[in-house]
Amino acid sequence: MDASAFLVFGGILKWIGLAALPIFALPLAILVLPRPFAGIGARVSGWIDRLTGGALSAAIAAALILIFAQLAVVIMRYAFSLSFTWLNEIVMYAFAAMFMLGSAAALRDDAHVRVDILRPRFGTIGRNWIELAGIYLFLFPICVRILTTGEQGLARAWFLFEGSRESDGLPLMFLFKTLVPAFALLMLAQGLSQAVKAARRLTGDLPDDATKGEIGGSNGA
Amino acid sequence: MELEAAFAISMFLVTIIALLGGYPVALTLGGVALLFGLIGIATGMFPEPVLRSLPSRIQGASIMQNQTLIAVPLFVLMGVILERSRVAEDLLHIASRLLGRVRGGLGYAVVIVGALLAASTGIVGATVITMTLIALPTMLRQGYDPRLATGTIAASGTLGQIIPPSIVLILLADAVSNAASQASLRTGGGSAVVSVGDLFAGALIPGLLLVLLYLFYIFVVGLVWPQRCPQASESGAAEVPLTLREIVFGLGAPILLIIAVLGAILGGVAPPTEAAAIGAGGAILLAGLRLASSVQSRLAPLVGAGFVALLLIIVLRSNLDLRAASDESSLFGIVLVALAALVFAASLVCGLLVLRKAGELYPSFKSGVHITSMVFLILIGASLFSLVFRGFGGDELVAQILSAVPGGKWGALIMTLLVMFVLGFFLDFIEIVFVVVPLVAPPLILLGFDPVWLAILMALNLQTSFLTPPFGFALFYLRGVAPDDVQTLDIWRGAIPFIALQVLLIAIVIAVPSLATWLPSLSAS
Repeated sequence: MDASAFLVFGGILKWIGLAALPIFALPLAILVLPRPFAGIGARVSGWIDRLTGGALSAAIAAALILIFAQLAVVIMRYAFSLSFTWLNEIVMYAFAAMFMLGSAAALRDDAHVRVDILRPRFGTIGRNWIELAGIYLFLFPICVRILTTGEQGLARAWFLFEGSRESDGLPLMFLFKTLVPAFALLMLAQGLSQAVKAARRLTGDLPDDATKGEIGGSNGA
Repeated sequence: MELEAAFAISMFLVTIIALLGGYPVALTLGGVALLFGLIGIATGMFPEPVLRSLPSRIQGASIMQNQTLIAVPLFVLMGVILERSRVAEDLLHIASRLLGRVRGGLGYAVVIVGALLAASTGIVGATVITMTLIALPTMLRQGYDPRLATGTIAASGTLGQIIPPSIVLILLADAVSNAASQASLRTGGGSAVVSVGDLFAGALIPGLLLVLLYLFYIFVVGLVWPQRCPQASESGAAEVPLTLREIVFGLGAPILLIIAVLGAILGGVAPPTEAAAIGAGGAILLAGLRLASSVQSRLAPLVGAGFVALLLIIVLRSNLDLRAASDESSLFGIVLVALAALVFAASLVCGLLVLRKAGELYPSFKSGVHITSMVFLILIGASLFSLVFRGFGGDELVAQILSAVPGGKWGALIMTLLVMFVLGFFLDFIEIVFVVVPLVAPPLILLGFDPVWLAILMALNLQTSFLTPPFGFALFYLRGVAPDDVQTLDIWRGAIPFIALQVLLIAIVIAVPSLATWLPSLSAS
């Protein structure tokens, strides 16, 4: 395929992204007008949670590949004193894919560490407002920043079909670099879903799961 | 310059306040930093290109291509699989039944198992919760003083951080190694690399000393106040006696796995990443064997064959030259090793199938992905934080503050340890390693402290912080799962003797640095 087609494709993706921007107002719309928007929000966040579930499956597959590939590296090196760049690169790619694709699922399942000292005292309403504030002030800006600053480097990687720096490496460096925007997009989507859930809890559309994530749950324990 | 310093300081303070809000730490760190960076750019205080390097940082050698940290998900998977397949639980059960008849025996069992489990997870919460759920009810039933019981459990749960191969030590090695090379750039000296192996070796003696101190304390309590840790009464031990098989498999196999992994790293046979892969593979095989009987799987012999295959590879490798098919015997060896490797891979698959049949495959890998993502999202957030903090000259500010502390380099060290101690009340080890260590370690190393020794002190110090009421992490987790009739005040009082032991050990390591530096210097030569 002609490389410039990817640039056109990338441009289209960017416009799709810009056109999709209003959807990030959905949680706020739910707060103002719960009636029509809470139902839409429930459906959207259901889709997103399923998408994230797919990414989680991919991350689990990466974890399995990581174990097997690293064991292959060990046996090759230990028994035959052989080392292959492509095998080492499989290990590295699987390692990176595991958390770049898994972060959104960890966000969905509340597995990211929080500071728990004052949290129980804020009450459910306070906690949900903090959730919304954190998503809009911290999560969205970080992801947007990663998406928008990386586009030139990414375009170059796809334009060249960038491969490994070594001759016996994998020709997939451009896909490896694509993990970064994929991470940002997944986190943006999951952030939207979490914001919708927080807004629905605030309007009473979703029952509050108050006990979850207060003690113990935050450390993935 | 003045204004930039004000930016750096207020960014730090705002971050702390924002963290108390309880939004995930990783995103709070990165988010506050990004907002300050954008304000800085708008007011012309902050060099814009610095922020533009964010995506390339994420995909670069410090995060996505970080060879050192590949060991982290592998050790996480090993720990999670051992935990979910109940191998870890068996370990505690068997150890406490073996030692239950001795005065203080349950206490000894908790400390020893804590040290071993430690090794595999290194995450305080998980270890404390597991041990509280399993050991605390038994200890209370046997008439242990609640203070002694909870103190022992909380303290043993934190052992996970200091005893190798712990995950936080790997992260700490990465951070301290960067700091040491920065410091040596500053002085123009030779590159001082701190490897994960160095830190593991350095932590081994202090960690074991700590275990001995804990055991000795329980022994002394048993002598002075025998009623606080009674031995199991004969009537209570009407359970079926342990079979030799149970002891060998339940106790021996996990211990052997952990010793093999640790020995491979310390002996220089394998780098930590490779040893971690062996650990994860071994955990899958052990879990397969453990669960095969309970789900009536006929795959157990196939899973067991994996260990035989591994042994065969080691034996062949040490007796034959397999690098080239130079003669008939080495050709034979190569074919045999290749076959053994295939058998090994097949038994791993069988182990995974057994896990799946028991319904533990998806949960354990899901939890492994969660923990790994949690660690690396913090790394991403913390690197954004450091990027902006450095952009405002915050690192120089920290260096200036440290050099202005009265008391010279010892003053700077004590101040750093105190600050980290307080931060340990609300931040986990991982965040402190990623955020604070890169800032304070380079100036301290420049002042002439040994990097390995410094890292061990920091680890011991944080571990103490997690035990200290009212904010210690370990106590929170313990309170969360302990029965309601155990008083919170008793938990706090129970921790105090162990804190004293920690402080004693820190003092010993400060007075005798070779406790931490002797083993690494051996492996270096």
